[in-house]
Amino acid sequence: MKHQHIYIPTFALFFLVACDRFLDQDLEISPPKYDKQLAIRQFHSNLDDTLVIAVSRNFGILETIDEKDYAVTDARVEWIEDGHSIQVLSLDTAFKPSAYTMVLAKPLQSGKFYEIRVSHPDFPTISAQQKMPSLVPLDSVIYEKDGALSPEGNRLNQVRFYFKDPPGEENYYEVLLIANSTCLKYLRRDPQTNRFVYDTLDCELSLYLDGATHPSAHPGDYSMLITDKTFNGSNFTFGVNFGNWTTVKSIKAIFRTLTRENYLYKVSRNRFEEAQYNPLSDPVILYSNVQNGIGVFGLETEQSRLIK
Amino acid sequence: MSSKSPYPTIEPKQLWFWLILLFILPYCSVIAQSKVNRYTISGYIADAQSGERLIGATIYEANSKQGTVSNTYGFYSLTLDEDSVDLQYSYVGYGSKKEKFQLEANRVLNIQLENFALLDEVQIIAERAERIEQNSRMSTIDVPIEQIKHVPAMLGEVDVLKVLQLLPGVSSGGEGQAGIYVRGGSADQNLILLDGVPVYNANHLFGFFSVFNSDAIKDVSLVKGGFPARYGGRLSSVIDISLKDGHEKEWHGAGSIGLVASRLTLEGPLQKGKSSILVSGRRTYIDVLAQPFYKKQLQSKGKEGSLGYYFYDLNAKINYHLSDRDRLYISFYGGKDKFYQTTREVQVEKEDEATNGLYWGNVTTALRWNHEWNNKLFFNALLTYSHYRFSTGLGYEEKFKQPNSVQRSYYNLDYYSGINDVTFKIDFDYVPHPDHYLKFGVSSSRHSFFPGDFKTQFKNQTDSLANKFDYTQPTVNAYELDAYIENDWKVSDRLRLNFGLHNAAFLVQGKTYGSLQPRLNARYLVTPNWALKGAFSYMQQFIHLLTNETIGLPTDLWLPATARIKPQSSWQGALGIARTLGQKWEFSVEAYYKKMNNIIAYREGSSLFDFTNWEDRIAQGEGEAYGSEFFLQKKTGRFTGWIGYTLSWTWRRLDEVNFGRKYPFRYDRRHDIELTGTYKLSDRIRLSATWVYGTGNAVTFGTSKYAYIFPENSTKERYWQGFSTQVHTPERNNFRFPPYHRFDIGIDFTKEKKHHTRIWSIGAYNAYNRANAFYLFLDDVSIRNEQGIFVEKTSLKRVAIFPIVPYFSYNFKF
Repeated sequence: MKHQHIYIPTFALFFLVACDRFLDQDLEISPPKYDKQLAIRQFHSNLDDTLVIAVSRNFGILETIDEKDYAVTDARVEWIEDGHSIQVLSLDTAFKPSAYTMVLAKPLQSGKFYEIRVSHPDFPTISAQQKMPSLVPLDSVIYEKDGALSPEGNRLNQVRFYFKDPPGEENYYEVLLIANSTCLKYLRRDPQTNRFVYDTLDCELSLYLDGATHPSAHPGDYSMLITDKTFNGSNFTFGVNFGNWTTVKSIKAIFRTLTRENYLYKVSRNRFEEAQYNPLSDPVILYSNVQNGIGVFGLETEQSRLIK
Repeated sequence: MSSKSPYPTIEPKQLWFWLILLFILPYCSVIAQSKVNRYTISGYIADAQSGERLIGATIYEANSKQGTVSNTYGFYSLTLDEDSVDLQYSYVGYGSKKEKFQLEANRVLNIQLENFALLDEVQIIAERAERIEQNSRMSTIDVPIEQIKHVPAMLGEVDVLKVLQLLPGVSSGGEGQAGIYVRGGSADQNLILLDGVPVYNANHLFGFFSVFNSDAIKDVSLVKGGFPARYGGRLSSVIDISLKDGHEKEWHGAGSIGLVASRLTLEGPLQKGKSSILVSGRRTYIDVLAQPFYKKQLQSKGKEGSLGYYFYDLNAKINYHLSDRDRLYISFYGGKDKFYQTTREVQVEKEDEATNGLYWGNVTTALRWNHEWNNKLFFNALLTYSHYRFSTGLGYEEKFKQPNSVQRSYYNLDYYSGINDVTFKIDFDYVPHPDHYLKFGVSSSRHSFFPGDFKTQFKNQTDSLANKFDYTQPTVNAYELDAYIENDWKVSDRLRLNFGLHNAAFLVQGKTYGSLQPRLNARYLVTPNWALKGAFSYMQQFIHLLTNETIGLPTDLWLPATARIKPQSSWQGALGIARTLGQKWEFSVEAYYKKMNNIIAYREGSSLFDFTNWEDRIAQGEGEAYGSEFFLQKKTGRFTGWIGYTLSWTWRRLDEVNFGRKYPFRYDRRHDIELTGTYKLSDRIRLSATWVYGTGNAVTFGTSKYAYIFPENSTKERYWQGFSTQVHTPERNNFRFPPYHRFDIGIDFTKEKKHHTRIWSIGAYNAYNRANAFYLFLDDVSIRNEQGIFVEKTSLKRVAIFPIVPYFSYNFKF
């Protein structure tokens, strides 16, 4: 046979195709390298009277971990105000699964710098600093039933926040609506009538916000977020829409002024959650402002109005 | 992000001054020399057998050491002093031809060169073609189509774009990725021209095959940088593909029958010496082959239906000689991919039917008129139309049979996007002097963009009317005007320049964007064999491709610059050396730096099916790429092939991605190596092999996991208590796929038969079965530990889609 030297390797290749194991295309690879780090996720406001700080740690993505191993209970957690250490927080066993706490002598004050620093012998020291944002006075809040339309043409209710944005500085806002409502407590069989009955209780529910009046608003966690990029220094009306809830008795309209880092984290957090269910989405990185560590420390000033 | 303007900082007035100076200066030398009688030799260079005109053939006059090359239509013009001339015509793969005579008047010399295959090879070796060091262009690679045809290919389907991806500075996105990435550019930054018409989606089957049928192609040229002024509209590359004109003397054909596709090309004279036609078609038949298996599977479940995927291409070209000086060409390309699935189940009380479909395709047409005004001025007018459309649909219907009626419930979803272009273009080639070759022209385009039309309709059994939801993004019309002038100037025996200016304007939504784009290529011969080359080009691009970084579906969206979304721009500088080693090896090394502005990407977390204005889904920013390319190529002889190596870095920085921090581009490849070779063992057997290696693609992947702790009694969290586990991903594109490498091998067995030549091609793609990653995932499995308890074990796995893929195909030509 002429050109045997060609035919033999060719047929050998075809033969290899029959080897099932050889064609396994689903193979293990080494995981990414990572640095051991501490993590926090703290949001504090002018309304806080106690600081509750939880510290966790990271593990490799392939490690099998019991949840309780994430908690770091022997760290040194320090609260710093304008560069001065105010207090080392103590581990408080009343807060399960784990938290370091401290009672604030006075509310957090606008314009002051606050810092959380966490150190542990097995991890690099982490820290994050924030400047408490100013309280931007809320002029009024107006509720309008069926005051908006959804893209599908359905009627929505609207709450509008009126305020004047301070000029010459970047400001970040978050609004959310907490409904005072009636919630289901138990479903039980009534021994007298032998029918199922509902026990209810008064509860607070965050209302899902279904759009906002400004195109550059970002959804947050049951909230809407916006920067003052397009209305810096002006009077501004920020409206948010929501659907009908039959059991709502009253609504607490919350208006927050956020730090930039707080805003960036909340925007990224929402995108991250949404992208998890969409295989076509581009990946989302969660914002972090924790030096040498993971997570976020954000400050906000909060005020609210009650809508009945 | 820097707020600097992405446009050139040079003042327009200054630019015009320098431009006028640059174009006037050369003519001082022309005028100074004009006391001597000068005559022009002009004509066309064509293949002796087919009459096919040859692009880039070299014409060299030995006494005066002057030369030129034929243009895209085979036309050449050389003006020389009155004297005896010793002309040599040469073209890669063809035998040279010499003409000696006394030049005493203008002459028309139409030259026909004999194809390599019909000549004694020793004779070829002795001939010279234009050497790489002589050419003023840099970052430009021509790969002979005959060489492309012998490179081993996936399933035996010869593919021009796949071969171009084997060149230094060019990378594929990897398996399952459709794009082509040149010097760190994005997939939309390549101007892919088929007979001068832009092709918007050049891929079939999610990028595994390109739309170009190799049997219909005459010439392929790739420009990666140092763009001549005649090109505009894209930042990173020009892939210029010319279709054959059609055999002018007799009817010929070629074709193949392969595992997944067959193709057939016929070409011949409509009227001998006057007009010719070429028709070429290709279709896959995976659907036909898979259908019986799918139907059988459904039948076993009591269902019926169909499932399939196919694509087809159709090329046609008519070439008509209006006169000795005029030619008319009409060319057409149509191609489509279609995936479809239907399932139907009939029961006593109800019937279900589900349908899915995915369709995309291009149509391009061109009407071209060539006219030779005189022996120095060549004219080309072109009217083109290009259309790309992507659509998808799915539906589900249930019919409930009632005693006296049928109640229906259904759900339908339809989406489509696309682009239409109509362009009119006029180009001139003017050769006033052997030291100058001028090209200039204007063009006008109308673009219509359809950014997405989404329609759903659903109805429940009990609804009296259907519910509808339409989300239509408005069509955007835009107008583009371009003008250019370029001069290839042989300043001295050592120094040669190609410089020019491209001026573009884009009118959209009442806003006008304009740009003056200077271009320069320079070659300096350090020794007769070594050339130092440099290039600078500023480019602007008025259209964007919005593409996701996850999987390579043809869902990418072509979008215009608008009043809100700025056009992309770039500048690129390159320096290099080039020489011919011996008679046949070309060697070049180039270093480049490219800065890109206003490139777009999806904002983090966005995707095609967000029901928001597409402009809200976009992040704009900048890109940066730099590196070096080494290239050693042999185009003629028993052995042909090349070695390419690229060392490169590519970055992106966009405001709303990675929090404005710089990150590596997904296709950032530190190392890219390509070895390609074919060896003609005998007249009947040809061996070919390719090996590629590339740094793995960058991917966004979690590096560790941690938990947020929500303590009880904490008023901060309303709904959470305990631990919420998170994956920590520090940066965009922070991890790498394992390196990509692959070895392909092929053998062609050729035999001359009585009426035709047949070629059996046998080979294997990914011959050593490398599991190149298509995607990565975390795999959780329960395993029993030493104590017999089930525990969760997580592993990181890569999934590859192509194991070794053997192929064979039967090819014929007559």
